[in-house]
Amino acid sequence: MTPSKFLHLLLTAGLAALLGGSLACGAPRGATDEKATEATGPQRGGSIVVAFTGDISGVNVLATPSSQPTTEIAQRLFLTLLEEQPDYQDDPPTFRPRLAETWEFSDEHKVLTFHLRHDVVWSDGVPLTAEDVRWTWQAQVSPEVHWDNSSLKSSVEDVEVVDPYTVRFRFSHAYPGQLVHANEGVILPKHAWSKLPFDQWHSNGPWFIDHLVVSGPFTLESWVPQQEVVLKRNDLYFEEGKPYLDRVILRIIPDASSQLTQLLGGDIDLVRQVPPAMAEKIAENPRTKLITFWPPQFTTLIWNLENPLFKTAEVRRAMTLAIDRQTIVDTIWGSFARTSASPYISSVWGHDPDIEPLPYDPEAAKELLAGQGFEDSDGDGIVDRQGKPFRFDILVNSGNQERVDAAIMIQAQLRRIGVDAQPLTLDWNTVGDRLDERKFDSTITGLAVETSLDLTPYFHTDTAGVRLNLGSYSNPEVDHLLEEARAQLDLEDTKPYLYRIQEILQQDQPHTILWEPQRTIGLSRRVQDAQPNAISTLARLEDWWVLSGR
Amino acid sequence: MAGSILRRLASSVLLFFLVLTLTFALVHIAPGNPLRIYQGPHTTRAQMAAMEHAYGLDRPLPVQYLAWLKSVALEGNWGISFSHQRPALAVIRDTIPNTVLLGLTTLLIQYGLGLLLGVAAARRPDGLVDSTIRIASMLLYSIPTFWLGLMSILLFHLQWHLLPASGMSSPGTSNAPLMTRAGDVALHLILPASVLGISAGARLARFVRNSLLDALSQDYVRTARAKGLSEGRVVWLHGLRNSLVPLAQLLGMSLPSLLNGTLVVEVVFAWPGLGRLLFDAATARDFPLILAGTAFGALLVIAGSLIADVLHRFADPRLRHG
Repeated sequence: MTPSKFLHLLLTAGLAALLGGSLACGAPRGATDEKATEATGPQRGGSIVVAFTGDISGVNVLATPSSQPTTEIAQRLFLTLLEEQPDYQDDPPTFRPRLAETWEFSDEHKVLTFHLRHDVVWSDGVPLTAEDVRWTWQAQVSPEVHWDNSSLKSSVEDVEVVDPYTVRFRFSHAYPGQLVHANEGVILPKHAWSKLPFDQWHSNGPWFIDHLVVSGPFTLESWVPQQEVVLKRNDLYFEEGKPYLDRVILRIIPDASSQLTQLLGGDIDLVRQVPPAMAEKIAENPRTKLITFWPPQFTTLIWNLENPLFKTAEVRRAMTLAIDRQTIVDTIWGSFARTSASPYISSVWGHDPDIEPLPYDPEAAKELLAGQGFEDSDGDGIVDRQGKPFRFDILVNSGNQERVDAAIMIQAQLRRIGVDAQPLTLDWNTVGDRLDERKFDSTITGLAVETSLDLTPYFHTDTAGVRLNLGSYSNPEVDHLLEEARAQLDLEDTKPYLYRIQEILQQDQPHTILWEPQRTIGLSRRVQDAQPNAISTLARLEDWWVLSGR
Repeated sequence: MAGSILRRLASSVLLFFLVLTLTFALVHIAPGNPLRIYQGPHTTRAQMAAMEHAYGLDRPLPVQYLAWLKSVALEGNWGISFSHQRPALAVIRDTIPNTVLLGLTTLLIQYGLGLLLGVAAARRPDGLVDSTIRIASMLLYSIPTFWLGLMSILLFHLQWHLLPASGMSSPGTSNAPLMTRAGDVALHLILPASVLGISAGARLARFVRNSLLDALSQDYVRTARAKGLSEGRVVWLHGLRNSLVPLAQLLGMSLPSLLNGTLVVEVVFAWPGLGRLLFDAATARDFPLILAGTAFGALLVIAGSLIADVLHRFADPRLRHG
C-alpha cells in the first residue's frame, strides 16, 4: 500500500466530518460567480491550479514512461489530427477537425487522406505541415523509440506527403478502427526534434524541454520536478482569442486528502479523482462542484484459464453466482459505481441492454460445483475434487485500496460455498511480473476498452497469453465474431457481432465483472466552461476561463 | 585520535562498497521490472524484449554488475534514471537541498525544544512543570506524524489562513525574485518542519530530562552546589554538559533517519524530498536511482556515526584526554 493510499484510507472519513463543519459556512463565492457569468461571457486572463498525484515524466510522450499527467500535458502542448468526441453513449464516437480540416477514405477504404489547416504554426513560427505528420509516424513505429502504442499503427504501411498540407495514410487492410488508429498520438515538431537520433531519445528526456516548440494552446513555462508544472498561453495558437487562461499550474500533491483540503480551501481548482467518501462534501460545498461521468472502464476479476480449477465455464459461473457484486459495490463505492455484466459498460454504444449481471445465488453456485465433482469429502469446510481442495489466490496490487477491499469481501463470500480464496497483495511492479509470466490463479484489475469497442486484444485466441488477454481465454466462435466485426467498414455495422460476443462471454464468464466506476472530478466554481470527459480531464482547456484573475 | 579516525574511514569505504554491492544484487534479483513504467496496454512482449536488450537488462547479472561498477568507479557515472531519463546523480543532487533544508530545520526545532523542555522538567522533578511537560511530550510523541500534519493543515491553513500547507513554494512562483522565493520557501517550511521537529523534540525532551536527572545526582554536581555556584550554572554548565554525551551520539545517529525517514510528512505536505523520490524509485525498480540514493544514505550513516564519535570525544573529557 502506498503511503498516500494508507493515509487516504485512514483520513477521508475524519476529514469529511471536519471539513464539512469548518467550511460549509464559508462565503458562497461560487454562487455569485455563476450569476456574473451569465452577464459577462468568457473573459481572458487569470490562471487555474490543477492537482495531480504524480509528476509528469517529460514532454515527449513517445519516449517517456506513460502516465496520465504526461498524456494530459502533451495534449495541451501538441495537437492531434482530429479531436475524438466523448459522444460514445448511443453511437460510435465522432471526430471534430483539429489539425486536419477534412478527411476522406478511398473507395476500397485502404487509403485515408487528411487535409491539414494552412494556418497552424509551431511556437517558433515555422508552419506545421504534412512532413511533421509523416515524421511523427516514423518515430511512433521506430523500434528504437519503443512507443507503447506503436502496435496500434501496425496496419499502417506508409504515410505519404502529397503536398505540404495533404497527407495520406496507406493501410494494409480495411477495418473499422482505421480512423481511430491513424489519429492516435499527437503530432510532433520534425524541424526541432529530428536533430536528436531516435536511439538517443530515451536517455535525453531534458533535451526535448530545451528544444520545445508547440502547436497546442499552451506551452511550458516551467517545470520543477515533484512540485509543479506551469503552462502559459501559446500566443501563436491558431484558434483566435484562445486560450482564455494566461496560465495553468499543475501542482504535484501525492496525498488525496491534502488535495481535497486544498480544493475546499480554494488553493486549487481541480482534483482529478474525488474518493467516494468525500464526493458529497464536494458537491454540497458552495465553492466547489462535483462533475461525474461514466468512462468506458470496468474492474474485473480475471480467471486464469490455464489453472485446472477454472478450465470449465460451469466453475467460473459458479464463482460469479457466489460473489455478491451488488454488496461489494454498495460497500466500497456507494452510488459512485454500478454492477456490470459486459466488457462494454452500460452507457456505451455497443452495450447489449438485454445482458443482465448473473444473480447472487450461492445455492445455485454450490450445485454447479457439485456437478463438476467438487464436494467436501473430508469435512474441513472446503470443497475438494480428487483430494485437492478448491483453493486459489486473488492477486491484487497494493496501491489500489478498492481492489484490496473487494478481494477481502470475495474471500468471505466464497468461503460460504466452501471455496478458499486467499487475497495476495503485492506491489504493482511485482504484480506485473506475475501477470506477464502467468503466475496467478485469478486477479482483480481495471480494463479500459477503446470506444471503437474492438475486444480482440482482450478475448481473441491469437492474443491469449499476451498482455491484455490475461486469462488466456479462447473460444473459436468468439474469434470468428471478432474477425467478422473487424471486417466491417462502419462501426455501426459491427453491433450484431458485438451483441453476440457479449452473450457468449456471459455464458463463458472468463471474467467475473465486478463494477463500472464513475469518474468523480472536484472543480472550483470559479472555473467556467470546463467540460472534463472520459477522454481527457483537461479536455478543451483552451475554452476554460475564470471570472477573477488569480 | 587521528589514527582511529583514519581506521574508521578505511572500514567505512569497505562498508560503503559492500552496501552498494548487496543493494545491486537485491534490486536485480527481486521481482519487478524497471521498464514496466514504459509498458502500456498495447505494448507487446516483443517490444518489451527489445527494450530490455536496448537497456542491456538481458545480460547476465555479473556482466551488468561489472559494467556498472566500472562506470561508477572510473567515470563517476551512476547511470541514467529510467523514470527521469537523466543522470541518476543529477536527480538526487537536485533533491538533496530540499531534504537538507527540511532535515536541518527539523533538527534545530527538535534539539531546541528537546533541550529547553528537558532541562525545565529536570529542574524540579515531579513538580507541576515536570508533570505537564511529561504528559504533553508523551501526547505529542504518541500522535502519528501524518495525523499531526493533517490537523496542522486544517488549523493553520484552512481555519486560520496563517500558513501555506503544500509544496515548497506558492503556485507559479518559480520565476519570482530570489528574496521573494526565499521568504515563500521559509513560510512553506514552517508546518512540515514543526510537525517533524515537535514530534521528535517531545521524545528528546524525555531523554534529556532523564539523562540530566542522572547527571545531577552525581557527586561532582553536589560539589559544584557546595561550592556555592548558582543553580543555573550547575544545571546548564555541569549537569547538561555531562548529559550531552549520549545526546551527541543520538544526534549523529538521527542524521540519516532525518534525511531519509520523512516520507510520510513529505507525502502529507507534498514536500519534494528524497523520501518520496526514493520510495517512487523503489516501486518503479529504477535501479540507477535506487543505487545512487542508497549511496547517499550510506554516506549519511557513515558520516553520522563519525560525527557522533567526534562529538562524543568532545563532550566526554575522559575520551578527549586519552
